Amino acid sequence: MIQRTFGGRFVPETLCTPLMELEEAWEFYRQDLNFQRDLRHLLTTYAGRPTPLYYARRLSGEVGCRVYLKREDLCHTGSHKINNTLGQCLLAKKMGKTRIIAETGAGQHGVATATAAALLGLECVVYMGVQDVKRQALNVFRMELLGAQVIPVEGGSQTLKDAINDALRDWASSVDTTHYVIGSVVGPHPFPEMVKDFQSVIGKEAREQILEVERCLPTHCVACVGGGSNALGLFYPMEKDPVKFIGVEAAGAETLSLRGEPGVLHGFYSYFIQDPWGQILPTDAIAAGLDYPGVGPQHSIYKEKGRAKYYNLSPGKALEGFSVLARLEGIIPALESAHAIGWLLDQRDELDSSSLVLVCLSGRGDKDVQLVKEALEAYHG
Amino acid sequence: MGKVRETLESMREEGRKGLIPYMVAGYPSLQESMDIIVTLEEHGAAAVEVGIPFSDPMADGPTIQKAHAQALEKGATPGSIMEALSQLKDTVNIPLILMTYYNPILHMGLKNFAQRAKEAGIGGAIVPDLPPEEAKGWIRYAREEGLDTVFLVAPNTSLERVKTIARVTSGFLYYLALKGVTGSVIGDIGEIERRLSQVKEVTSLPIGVGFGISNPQEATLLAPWCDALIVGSSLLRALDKGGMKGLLGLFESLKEGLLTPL
Repeated sequence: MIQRTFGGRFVPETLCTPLMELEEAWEFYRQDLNFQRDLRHLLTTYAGRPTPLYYARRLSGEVGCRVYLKREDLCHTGSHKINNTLGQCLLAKKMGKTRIIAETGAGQHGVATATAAALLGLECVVYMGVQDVKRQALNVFRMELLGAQVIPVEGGSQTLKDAINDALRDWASSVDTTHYVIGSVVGPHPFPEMVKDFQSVIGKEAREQILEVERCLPTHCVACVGGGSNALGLFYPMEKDPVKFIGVEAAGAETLSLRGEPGVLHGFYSYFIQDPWGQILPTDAIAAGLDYPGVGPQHSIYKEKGRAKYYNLSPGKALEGFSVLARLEGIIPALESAHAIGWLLDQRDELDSSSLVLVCLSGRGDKDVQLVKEALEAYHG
Repeated sequence: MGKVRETLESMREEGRKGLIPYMVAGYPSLQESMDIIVTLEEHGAAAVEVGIPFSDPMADGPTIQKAHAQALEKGATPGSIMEALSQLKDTVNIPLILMTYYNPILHMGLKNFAQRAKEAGIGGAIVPDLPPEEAKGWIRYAREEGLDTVFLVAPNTSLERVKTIARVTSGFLYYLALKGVTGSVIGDIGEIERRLSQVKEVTSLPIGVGFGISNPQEATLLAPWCDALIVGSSLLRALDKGGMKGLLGLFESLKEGLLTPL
């Protein structure tokens, strides 16, 4: 196989020029002091950054080592997604775009995009698979309250993957006025780089915070991985540090930990779950935000270099993470983030008392309580 | 020289305009789709664009998406399609051009895919999600097998970039009549003409125009500006509505439109 570099720009010609323009704009604004100041101002006064680094005392007792939670669940809109949507919407505005489109799985990114668009006075359209519209009905209403139009996607497996397809199709016809705010470290270049930059605020803050309280770096960084934006945001600023990276995928969407192979979808080369003919296969993760058959190219690089290790977690263990965090710490995590907690509980034998674990608690779980209630009832009969 | 280029160039010399219908291999069934190719040749298609169904056809609108999904449900694979196409090798003389997304090629292996396509009698390929920057490997293996590599030019492609694209293109340059996905409604024909006249100044390649062409009037208006017209979604809609008769009805009227002087 000749293809060696993960990432790239595998898109219809109509999107090539807009992506080059976006790359150029991003190269400019990422170094523009005014842009950075405006973004920092919004992150501080509007999104609630810096988020706390919280020592989870009772959870630590449970797993037998010190565990810190990076509280992205305390961000405005309830997840780390706002870090990226504020950045991209601000960039879109600088580029003179008046309309924003986005895809969403769990609805977290859709809500965060609708929020940033409302704040900056941009028109907003969110594509969401019909399956996800059903399982995340409250988030649909939230987006509508924020002035966004939610378009249910009927095609394919009717989940996140198909929402991205339709967002890309919309963008191909609307590029003159529209910016596509992609929600994870996926998509054609420069999206993975740009989203990584915006989400790196997580790891930069966490690194400083843990150095301040513990006077040392963590031994492990743990985060859930769907497309991989909260994980990369946490990992990347510590890439050169002697810290183990653990990415936790959901069973049913175990792209890096089990089933994926290199391929091209949604404009980039990375690992994807596919059949022997290169047809992308439907996934079946309990958490809509992890229900994606691929992963950001940087994670594929980490996997092949051995820089990060990827695991997958069964729905039962994710639900355990969800319940344990609620009971021990009084924090109801997003079902996605519950996978990272569940991994800790599951792998406690691999950690010892000298381990210092930093977990990205990427979102809060209000959106999931109904689903978890049903799942727990089904589980315990 | 590839078979696509040969055909398009001789048409140009004779001053003929060609109609290139697009169909989805495996839709409505694999056998029926092969029969459609044979029938389209009998009715004067200059070439046939054969779509390999993909799970995520991001350059396609609802009509073609639906056909892809149904073909996949019925079990069509790049392997079974190549196999079926190779059965047509002695019957069909016009060039067949594969339209496939990149992942099925990548998964089969670039070299292997090119070889199997050649063995199946294919003349060239269009890979809508593979811009020239990412296509070096594919171009190399396609050329080794004598396959034409058709690349696309969009309404927002700069003329500088058109030159770059033209350098790696063989067969014909595929000009997109619209920004968006297949089967959308094309806008101002005057604007398309203006762009095409600019494109023709920077390349001498034959030009095929596609995406959104659905009626004989459009064919008449666009004919002076191109060597071939590519029609997909509207033919599929005609097939869905009126079967083979419906498809041929539209095909004939488009052909007539293409040959009608302005």
